[in-house]
Amino acid sequence: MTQRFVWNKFCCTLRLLFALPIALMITTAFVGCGRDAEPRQQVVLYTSLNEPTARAVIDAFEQETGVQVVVVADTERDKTVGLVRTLIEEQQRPRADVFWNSEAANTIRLQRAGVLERLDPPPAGAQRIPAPYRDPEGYWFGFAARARVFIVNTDLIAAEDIPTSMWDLIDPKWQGKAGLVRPVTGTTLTHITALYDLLGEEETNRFLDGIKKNECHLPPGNGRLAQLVGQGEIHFGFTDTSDFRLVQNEGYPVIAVYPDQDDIGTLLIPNTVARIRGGPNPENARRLIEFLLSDRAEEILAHHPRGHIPLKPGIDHPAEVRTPDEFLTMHIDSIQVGEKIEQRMLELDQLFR
Amino acid sequence: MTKPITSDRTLAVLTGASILIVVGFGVLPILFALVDIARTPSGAVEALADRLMWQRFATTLGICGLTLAIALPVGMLQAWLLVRTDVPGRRALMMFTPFPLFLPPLVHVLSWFGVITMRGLPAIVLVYVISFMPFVVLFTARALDQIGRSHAETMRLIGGEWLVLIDDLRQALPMALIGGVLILVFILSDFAVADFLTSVGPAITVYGDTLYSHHLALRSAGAAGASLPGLVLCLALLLWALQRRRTLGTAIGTQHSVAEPVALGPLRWPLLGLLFLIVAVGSLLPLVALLIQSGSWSTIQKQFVIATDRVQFTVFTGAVAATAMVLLSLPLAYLASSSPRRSLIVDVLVFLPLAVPPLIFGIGLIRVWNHSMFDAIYLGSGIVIIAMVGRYLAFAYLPISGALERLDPAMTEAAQLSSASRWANLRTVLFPLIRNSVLPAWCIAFCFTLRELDTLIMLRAGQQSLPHHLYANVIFARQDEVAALALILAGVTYAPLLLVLALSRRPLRMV
Repeated sequence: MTQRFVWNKFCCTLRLLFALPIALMITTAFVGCGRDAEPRQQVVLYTSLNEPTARAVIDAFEQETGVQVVVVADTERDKTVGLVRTLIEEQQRPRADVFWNSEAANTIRLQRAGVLERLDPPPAGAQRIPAPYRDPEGYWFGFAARARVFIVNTDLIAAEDIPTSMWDLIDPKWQGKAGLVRPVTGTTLTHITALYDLLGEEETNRFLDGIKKNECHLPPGNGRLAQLVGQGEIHFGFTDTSDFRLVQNEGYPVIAVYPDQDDIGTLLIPNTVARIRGGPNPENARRLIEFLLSDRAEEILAHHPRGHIPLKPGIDHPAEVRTPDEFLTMHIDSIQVGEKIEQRMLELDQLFR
Repeated sequence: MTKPITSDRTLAVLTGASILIVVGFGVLPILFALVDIARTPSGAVEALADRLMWQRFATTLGICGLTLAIALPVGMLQAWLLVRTDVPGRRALMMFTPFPLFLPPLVHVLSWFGVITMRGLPAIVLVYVISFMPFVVLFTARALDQIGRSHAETMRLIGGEWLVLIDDLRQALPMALIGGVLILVFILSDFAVADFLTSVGPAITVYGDTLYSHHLALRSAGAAGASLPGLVLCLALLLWALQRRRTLGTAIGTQHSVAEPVALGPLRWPLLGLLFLIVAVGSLLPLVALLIQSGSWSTIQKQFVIATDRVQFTVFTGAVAATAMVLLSLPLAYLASSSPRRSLIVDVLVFLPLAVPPLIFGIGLIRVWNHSMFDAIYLGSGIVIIAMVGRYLAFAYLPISGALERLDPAMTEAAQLSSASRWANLRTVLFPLIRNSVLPAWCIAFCFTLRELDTLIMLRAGQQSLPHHLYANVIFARQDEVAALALILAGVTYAPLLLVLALSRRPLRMV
């Protein structure tokens, strides 16, 4: 009797166990439906900005419109490319409505790949964006920029020695003490590609050879470089203002220097926003884009601890956030840079092996 | 009374369904990702002809060689001391041995290198040794478990304790090498450790960087082509290792008698200290280092509150995935045990996703599952579960198939002679004998799901996972917050391990 009971129980368990692989697909689908079913009034945002910063603006948008924003953010490790790649792979069946990129080059690559949709008529507020920071055809629009600055450790560098030009990176005086992110990703890649455009092959190659000869440290990201300068492992190096401010806010002895003010100027890299072709919520996408391009969004981002630089004139901002009319900006052709960035990336990968 | 024909059909259907699921979750994504090679062969050829890629491949193999040069002898000796000697507390130490394996290497980096200043190649090798040496220990331990009393006694009589040690290690070497192969597989697909630890000083770029460069350049064919050397090498070594394991797997029948532990005499206590140090360095000290870096309990609490949803999501998807992996492993392991040809097919299906770079696997998942009929799966947690099952099924399969292989064939012979069906044989004879391996298999599979990042980066729902949250914060958040998050991830990983160990009161067996 007991044996039979044990046997029946065992058979029951086994049937259950072996039935489950077949039920797995159903379970998986159920899990998907149950937890993540999407409400109707929503917009799906893919953003390469770090999520807490993006949230500051998105929360305001959600409050104002009642539209829920589903945010998919990149990690620093993926250097904005993770989402770009996902957007290209999803092109046949787009899942995102809006791409908010923390720079412009990859947005231009997406435009070339046919992933983006032209906004016609242009979104409200687009006309006020300075011409260099928006696509003349209306595929993408720039806002809230970051500047490429030197982060300098003031415990390690005396006031009179503070570097002021990109060429200081290759000054033998700073051998083994300066840093530049390995220029195969992110804003550093954009920066070097812009230099090729502005200075030409010869001068830029001289600069890059100097970087190697001067034993510059090559960390994998701007945030990491800023941390290393803050901690005193590197004396100074190029980073973005947002990363500088993060380290400054942690109390490290650092200052930002806007380089080459008497020469080519400091590179300004805007955030860019674009609508995805065939996205599931095109109308809400337009509303979100218009909000991101509004004065209010730039104001929120300017007052954020990471201090993004408003591109439109007349935006309220903290004193420590310097606007483009307060310093000399580098004049670059974003579209040219976007088109050449892929080839440059492969060349630079070979150079900085 | 069993019904052989119907029951065998049931088994065939279940096995077929399991194979279909494995193909859909693990193999199809790889084929869909590698199809770029056929679409743009020139891109793939160009990537394969790139000297830089081969240089980095060689560099990575060099790092792997250095790691193995330390991990193999130290790991084998550790396993020998834990399994074959009378070191006090060896059972408890054996229980904690696998712990470092389940933490992502970057967590080891964050814990150790927030405290010490070592950088460059030595630091990279150190992290890999700490992270992956348990593979060697666990596989060696399994081989040592199978050494019989009479054999060990003979060796002792011929040449004393030293000959026992030498003979034991000689016998365990092939299994230790199998652990070494797994180490190579994981190192080949990693680039974060080298990136982080050579931020200052001469940069070391590895094979993973080349794959990543093609990925950054959005050159799909290049990425697929560049992944081939690693894929071929990993798959070949894994299959060699698996087939070798089958030939090594001595069946333990009812007559098996465990060898007497070697008496170490006065050396017991110093060796206990050494073993404790090794286990503590990998399992305990990283937690202490992270705790110190977290600064205060309130930071950990605050981060836990912020990450609660992600913790729930990660535990939920990991638990479902681990359950699925165990359920799939049972019929697959049974199928593999039935003939060498079938075992080869099952091994390829199960281990192929482990040999593929995770980014490539992620791209393949999008291509397979991003269709309107799979909306509920692709937009929700389903795709995360699929990614985890596809990629880590091998770690649930290994303990279960290992348990099946160790069974004495005599135990099933009686059932076969009485014309019992294979299904009845599996139900009544085999399953009761291997069920002790089911819980460890689940636990190992669950822990491996918690260290996944690179595949999940590519997936929309993957953004909700705790590892993704941690990696997103490595740069953007304050150091104490990052340390607190890493500590939470370690806690979520270790909690079920401790629970299973407390319930089973036996060390985890990976094979």
